[in-house]
Amino acid sequence: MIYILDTNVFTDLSRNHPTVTTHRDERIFSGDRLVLCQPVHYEIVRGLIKSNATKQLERFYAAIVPLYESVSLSDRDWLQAAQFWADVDNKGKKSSDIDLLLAALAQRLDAVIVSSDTDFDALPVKRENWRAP
Amino acid sequence: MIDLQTLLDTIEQLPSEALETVSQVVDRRKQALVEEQAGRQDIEARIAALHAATAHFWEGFSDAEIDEITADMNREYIKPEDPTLFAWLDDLPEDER
Repeated sequence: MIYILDTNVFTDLSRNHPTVTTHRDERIFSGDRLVLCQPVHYEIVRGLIKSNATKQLERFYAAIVPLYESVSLSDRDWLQAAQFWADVDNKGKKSSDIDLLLAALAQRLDAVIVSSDTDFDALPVKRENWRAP
Repeated sequence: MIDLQTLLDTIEQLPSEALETVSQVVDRRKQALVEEQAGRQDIEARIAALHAATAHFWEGFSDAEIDEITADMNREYIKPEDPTLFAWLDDLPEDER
């Protein structure tokens, strides 16, 4: 199984959230694939840059990124995200562009999005919340 | 499943062609066990590295600062419906708007 980690999973892991960490370790032990994709990199890095967290930025790229799988967005993912945006907007709801891109990638890879963000539930993707025991 | 002695006794009675097949199966199984063990060591090393990477990730920042940074990371979108967002335009001369 492929799991795409949302930014809130990274922030939980960076703060050693016990339940999220346990879920992450179990998935690795099971041989599942854990993905940190470009939109999530972007959200993490923007927070670090804004606060001039240079050591954390270095640790992120040197010690964390290499331990996860990286999958790049394709042109098709951007198109699918645009379709999701239109579908959700026509229902009178809002989703962030980052969420839509993650959902498009998850659909292409038949992956599960890991997030505590319930906004994903408006999209046709599978979601797990690792904060739950 | 048969016990080990029965298996060994059966092997003792096998013709040479069948023995070769058994030998190949044993070699394949031994290789699989080696790879499985190596894979498990890789996984354990990876998890240990992940724990080490996050153990002191925020060193140098207070809890309040970490709250602020992680909130910035998780902030999603600016609601364009905010009517005050471009109110300052109204104060500009018409030809400068």
